[in-house]
Amino acid sequence: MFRILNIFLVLSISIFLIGCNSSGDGDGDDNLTLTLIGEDSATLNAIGGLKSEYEKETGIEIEIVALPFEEAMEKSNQDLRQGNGLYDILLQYNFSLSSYVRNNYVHSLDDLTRNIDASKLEFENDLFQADWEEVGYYYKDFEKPELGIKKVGYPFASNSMLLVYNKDWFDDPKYQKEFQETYGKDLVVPTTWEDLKEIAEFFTIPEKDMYGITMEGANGGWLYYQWVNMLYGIGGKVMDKKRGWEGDENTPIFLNSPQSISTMEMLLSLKPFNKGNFFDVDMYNQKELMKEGNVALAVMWSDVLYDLIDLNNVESTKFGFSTVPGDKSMNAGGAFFVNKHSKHPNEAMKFIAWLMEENNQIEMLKKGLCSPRVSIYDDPSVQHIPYLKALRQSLERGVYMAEAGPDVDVITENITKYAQKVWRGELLPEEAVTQMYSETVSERSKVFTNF
Amino acid sequence: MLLNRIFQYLSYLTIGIIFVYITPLLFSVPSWEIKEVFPLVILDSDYSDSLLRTLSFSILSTLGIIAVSFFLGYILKNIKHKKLLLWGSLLLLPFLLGSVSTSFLFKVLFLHSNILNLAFNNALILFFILGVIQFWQFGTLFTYIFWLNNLSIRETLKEYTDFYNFTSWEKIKHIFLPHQRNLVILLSIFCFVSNLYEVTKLQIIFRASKGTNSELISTTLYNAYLSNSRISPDFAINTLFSQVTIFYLPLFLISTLLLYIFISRAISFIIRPNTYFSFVNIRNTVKNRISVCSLIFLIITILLPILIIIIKQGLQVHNLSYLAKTVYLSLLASLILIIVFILPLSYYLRVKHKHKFYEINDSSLWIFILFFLLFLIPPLALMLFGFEWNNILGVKGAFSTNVIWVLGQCINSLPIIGSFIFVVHFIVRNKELYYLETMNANFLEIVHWSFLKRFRLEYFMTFLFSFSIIWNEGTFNKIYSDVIPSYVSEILRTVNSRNADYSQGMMFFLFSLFLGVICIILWNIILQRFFRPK
Amino acid sequence: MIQLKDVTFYYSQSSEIYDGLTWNIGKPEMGNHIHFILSPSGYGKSTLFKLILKVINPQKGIVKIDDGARISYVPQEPVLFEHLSIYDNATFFKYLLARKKEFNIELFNEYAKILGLDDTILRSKKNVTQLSGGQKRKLSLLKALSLNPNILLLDEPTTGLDAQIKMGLLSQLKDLVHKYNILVLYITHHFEEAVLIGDKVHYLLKNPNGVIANISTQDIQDFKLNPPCLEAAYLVDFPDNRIQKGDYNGKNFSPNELSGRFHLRTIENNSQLFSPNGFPISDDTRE
Repeated sequence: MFRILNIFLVLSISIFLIGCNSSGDGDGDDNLTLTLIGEDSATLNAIGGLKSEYEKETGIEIEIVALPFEEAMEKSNQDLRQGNGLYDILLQYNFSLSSYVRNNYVHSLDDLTRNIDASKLEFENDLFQADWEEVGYYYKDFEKPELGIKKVGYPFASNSMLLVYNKDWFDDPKYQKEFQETYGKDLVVPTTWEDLKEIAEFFTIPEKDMYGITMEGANGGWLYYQWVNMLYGIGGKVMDKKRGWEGDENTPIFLNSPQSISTMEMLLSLKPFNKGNFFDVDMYNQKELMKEGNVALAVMWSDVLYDLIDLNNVESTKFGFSTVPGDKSMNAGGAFFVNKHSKHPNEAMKFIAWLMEENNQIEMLKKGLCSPRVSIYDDPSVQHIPYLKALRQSLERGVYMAEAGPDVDVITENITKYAQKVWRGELLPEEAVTQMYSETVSERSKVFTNF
Repeated sequence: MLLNRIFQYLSYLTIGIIFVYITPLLFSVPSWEIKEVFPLVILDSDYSDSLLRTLSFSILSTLGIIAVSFFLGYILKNIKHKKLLLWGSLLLLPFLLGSVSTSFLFKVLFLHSNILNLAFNNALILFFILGVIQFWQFGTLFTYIFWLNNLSIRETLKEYTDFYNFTSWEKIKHIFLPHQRNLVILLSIFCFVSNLYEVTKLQIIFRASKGTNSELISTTLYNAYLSNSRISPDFAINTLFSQVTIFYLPLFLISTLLLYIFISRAISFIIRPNTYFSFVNIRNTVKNRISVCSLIFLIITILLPILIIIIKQGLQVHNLSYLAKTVYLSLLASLILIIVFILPLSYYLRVKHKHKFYEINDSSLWIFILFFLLFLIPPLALMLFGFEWNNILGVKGAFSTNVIWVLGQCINSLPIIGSFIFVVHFIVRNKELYYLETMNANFLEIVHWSFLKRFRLEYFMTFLFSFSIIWNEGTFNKIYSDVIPSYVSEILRTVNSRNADYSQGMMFFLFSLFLGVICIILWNIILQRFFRPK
Repeated sequence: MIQLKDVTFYYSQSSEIYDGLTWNIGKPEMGNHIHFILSPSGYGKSTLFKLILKVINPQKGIVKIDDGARISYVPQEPVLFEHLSIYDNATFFKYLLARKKEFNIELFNEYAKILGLDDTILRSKKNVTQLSGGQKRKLSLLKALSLNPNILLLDEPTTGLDAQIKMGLLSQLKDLVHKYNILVLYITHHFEEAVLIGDKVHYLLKNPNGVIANISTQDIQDFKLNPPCLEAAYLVDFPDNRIQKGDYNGKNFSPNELSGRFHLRTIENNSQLFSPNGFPISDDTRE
C-alpha cells in the first residue's frame, strides 16, 4: 500500500511541477517576452501579422492572447487587480480607462516616453485628436480636475460604429422603383433614423426570408452601443461633457428626456424588421447574420467590417458603408495600457511606438485595423478598402457617446436592462425611461461615494 | 502506531483545510459594509428580483426534479434483467458530462431554433427550459439512484405486497417512500443548492441579463463584483463578502433547512396510514412493459441531443494541444482530492464511527448534508478566498495560483465525490470491521484489507469521475483560465467570439463524452459483481 | 382445501424445483389443524408457499384453493413498517384498500389477548424497531390473524427466538388455531417444533433427478418412527446404530459398509429398506 502511495505522491509532484512550468508564468523568463492581451478582433489580428517582423528585428518575443470581448476585459482587470504582471500590454477600451488610472494600475505616457527618441513619437500629431482624448487621456489628478488632463495611452485603434447596408438590394432597380412608389422618395442610404425605419420596413418580407435590419441586443454592452448611437442620432444625450471619462457625481444626467423616449420607441418600432434572436446577438453574431446576405441594414462596429469583405476581391462585396444616421458618430476604440507590474515597461513602450509607425499602420489597416492615424487614410494603397471613407467621416465628426467614467457600468447596465424590457414589451418606453433615469441617478451617487 | 495516528489525523485535514481556506472572511470583518448590505440586497430591485427568482427557481425545480425522478425510479423498479440494468447506466451520462458540456450541447441544439427566441421573450419559458435541462443533467442521475435503491428492497416484501394486493399508492406509501426517505432528502438538498448557484447554463445558453429577467443571484453577484472591482478591488471584495456572509449564506442556510423540514414533513404526511391517492392499478405484465419502455425513452432522451449535435456539427479533431493543456492540473487535483481529502476522512468515519456511519440513516445523513452545504458558498467567493490568501501570504505568480486553484477545486468537488466514496464504503459490513478489530487488526490493516484491496476499481472510477467534474467546472476554471487553461474558457471562445467555431467546441465536448462513457463502462463492471444468478 | 395437481415449476429451465407434484390438504378437523412442511434448506418450501399464495404460477399443473378460503401469510422476516406506530402496524389491514373489509376488530382484540399483546405494548410510543424479536413475531402474527383467515401460512415464524419464547409462541398458536378452527401450514426445518404442536408432517421428497416430485404426509409419531427417506431420518435424529449400509439384490440384504444402500431398523425391528439415494424400496421388492 505504501508503495502505491509513494508512486501516487511522486506522480502528483511531477505533474504539479510540470504544470507550474507550462502554465502561464508571470514571473518572467530569461528570453524577453512581451505579452499582449486584447479582444480577438481584426485589430489584434493585424498586430499579429506584424509580430514576427518585430521579433526578427529586436529578438523580443511577442505573445498575443486574443480572447472574446468580455473575457479579455475580465482577464485584464483580474491581472491588474492581482498584480501578477501576466500581461505587459493590455489593449482595452475606453470604459476601462478611468478604473485603470484611478487604481494606479497602468503607467502613464509621461513615464514611458521619457526613454524614447522624440522622432519615434511624431505620430502623436497625426492622431485623430478627439478620439485619442476619448480613449487615451485622463485627468492629471482626478480629485482636482481643474489641473487639466494628461496622456495615459496611445490608441491602438480608432473605432466607431458605421451603417452597413446591402448594396445589391439598394442598387437593384426593381427595389428602387418599388420604394419610390411606396414611400414617394428615392431609395438612398438613410441619414435619419426615420428614413432607416422606412427602409427596414420596406425590405422586411419574411416569406422571402428578407429582413430590414439586424441589431445587437445582447447583454454586456452590445445593446448599449446600439442604443446610444440611436439616442445621439435622434438628438439626445446622456450627459453634457466633452469626453466619456469625464464627470463626477454632480454631472447631471439627461436620460429622462423626450429623445430618450423617442429612442426607446424607435428601437421597439424596428422589432418587426429585425433578424436574429435579439438578446443573443452580439457583434460577432450580427456579423454572421449580415453575411447571410438577407438583411438590408445594420449598425456595426468598424473593427468587425474587415470580416465582411474580401480585400482580394473587393468588387464582389455585397455591402456598402456609411456613417450612422444623424449628425454625430461615436468616438470609440481603446488604448495600449502598459501594466504597472510589467517587468519590461520600456520594451513595451518601444513596441507600441513601433506599431504606430506609418508603414506598420498601413499594413495593419490592410488587415482590418481602424487606424488612429489620420494620414494613413490618404495612402493610395488602402483606397480600395470599401469602408474606409465612411470610417474616416465617422471619426472626423465623432463625439463622445460611450460612457467611460467610474459610473460606466451603472449607465451601461441600466440602459441595456430597460431597453431589453421595452423590447420584450414588459415596459412602455415612457415607463422604461423614467425608471432608467431614477435608478441611474441613485446608483451613480453610490459609485462616487465608494471611491 | 505512529503511522496509524498520522493516517487518522489526515482525516481531520480535510475539515481543517476547508475552514482555513474560508477564513479570509474573518480578515475582512473590520471592513464589512454591514449597514450597506440590507438596503442593497433588499431594496435594490436588481438584487431582490434576482434573489426571488433564484429561490423560486431552486425550490420549484428541485421539487419537480425530485418528484419526477422518484416516480421514474419507481416505474423502473420492475426492471431487474442484467442487460437492461447495464444499459440503464447510460442514465449517468448527462451528469458525467458536466455543466459546461451540457450547456454547450443545448446551445448548439437550440441554435437557429425558435426556442431561444421564446425563452428570451418570456422568463417563465426560459426558466422552464432551464428546469428541463437541469432534469436532463441531474434528474437522470437521481432516477438511476432511486432505481438502484429500489432494487435493494427485499424480494419477500414484494411478494408480501403482491399477495395482500397493495395498490400502487400503498406500495409507494409503505414500502418505497420510507425506503427512499433519506435519499429523497439528501438529493433534494443537493439539487437545491446546485440550482442556487446555477450560472454556466444561464451564461452560455441564455445570456442571462437583467433586461430579460433571467439573472440568478450568482450572475448578479458576479457582475456586481466585476463592476465594483473597477471602482476598487477592496471595495468589491468587501461588498461581496459582506453580502454573502451577512445575508446570502444565512438566508440560503435557512432555506435549505426549511426545505429539509418541508420534505421530511411532506414524506411523513404522505406515509400516514390514512392518506390515500387513487392510482390506476395495472397488471404486472403491463407494468413490466411500461418499465422497459420508460427506460428506452429515457435513454433516447439522453442520446438523441448528443447524436443531433454530432450530426449537426460533424466530427472534427484539430488543435489537440488545446485539449492537452487543460487536462493535467485536473488530473492532479483529482488525485489530491481523493487521496488527501476524501479517503482518510472516509476511512476514519467508517471505521471509528461504524456504529452510526454504515448507511444513509438519520445520523449519517447530517454528514452528507454538511458536505452539501459547502455548495452554499458561491463559487465566486470560494475563488476570492484563494485570491485573498495570495494577498495575505504575499505570494504571486503561477505557483501560488496553481495551489489555490487545486485547493478550490478540491473543496468545490468534495461534496459529490466524498459522498460517492462514503456510500461505496458502506458496502463493507460492520460485522467484518468488528471481526477485524477483535482480531487486533490495526487501523491501517483494516483499511488495507477491507477497503484498498476491495475497491480498487471503484477508486479508479472515482478518480475519473472527479477528473470529469473538475475539468467540466464552470466558474473556477473560467476565472483562472489565463494561468490554467480550461475547458470552459475554450468552449466560451468557440461559441462567443470573432472566430466562433462550434466544431472546435465539439472536440472538447466529445472528450467529455469519452470520459463519461469510460466511467459508465467501469461502473458496469462494478455493478456486475452484484448480480446474483437466478 | 388446498390442492396441487401435477404441478411443475422452475425459476429457470436448468433448475427445476417441482416436477409433476400432486398434493392435497383437507379442511381442518380434530387432529388435523397444524401441518408442518419439512425438508432441508433450499428444497423449495417457500416456493411451495408462493404457489399456494398465487404470487407465482406453475409452468404446468394447477393450484386450487377452495372457494371461501381466506388465506393469510406471515413471512419469515416480519413485515413491520418503521414509519407506523405499533398499533397501526398491528391494525395495518384496516387501512389497506384491498383488505380493509376483511379486517375484524373484535377478533383482533381477542387474538391480541391470546398472544399476550396488551395495550401496554400495542399502544406504547416505542417504534417497532425497538420491540424484542418475540414481540415482533407476535405482532406479525397478530397482523395476519386480524383478517380472520381460515388458512394461515407461517414461514419459519420462530427463527432467531430463544427456546422459552419459542415455546410460548407455539403454545399460544396452538390454542388459537384450535379455538378458531384455522388450518395452519408451517414451514420449518426443526422437527422438534412439529413434535410440540404439529398434527401432520409433510416432507418434500426429491426424485432421482433431484427435483421434488412427491410430498409424503404422515402423523408426527409415524414420521418419527418411519421417516420417508434417509435425510428425514437424520432430521428426526434416528439413531445411527439403527442404520445399516449394505447390498440388496431384490431378495436378500447383505450388510456392506461400502455399499450405497441403507437398511433401517426400527425399534420394533420392523425394517425398512432404503435405496442408494435414500428412498425406500417398495414392499414388492422386498423379500
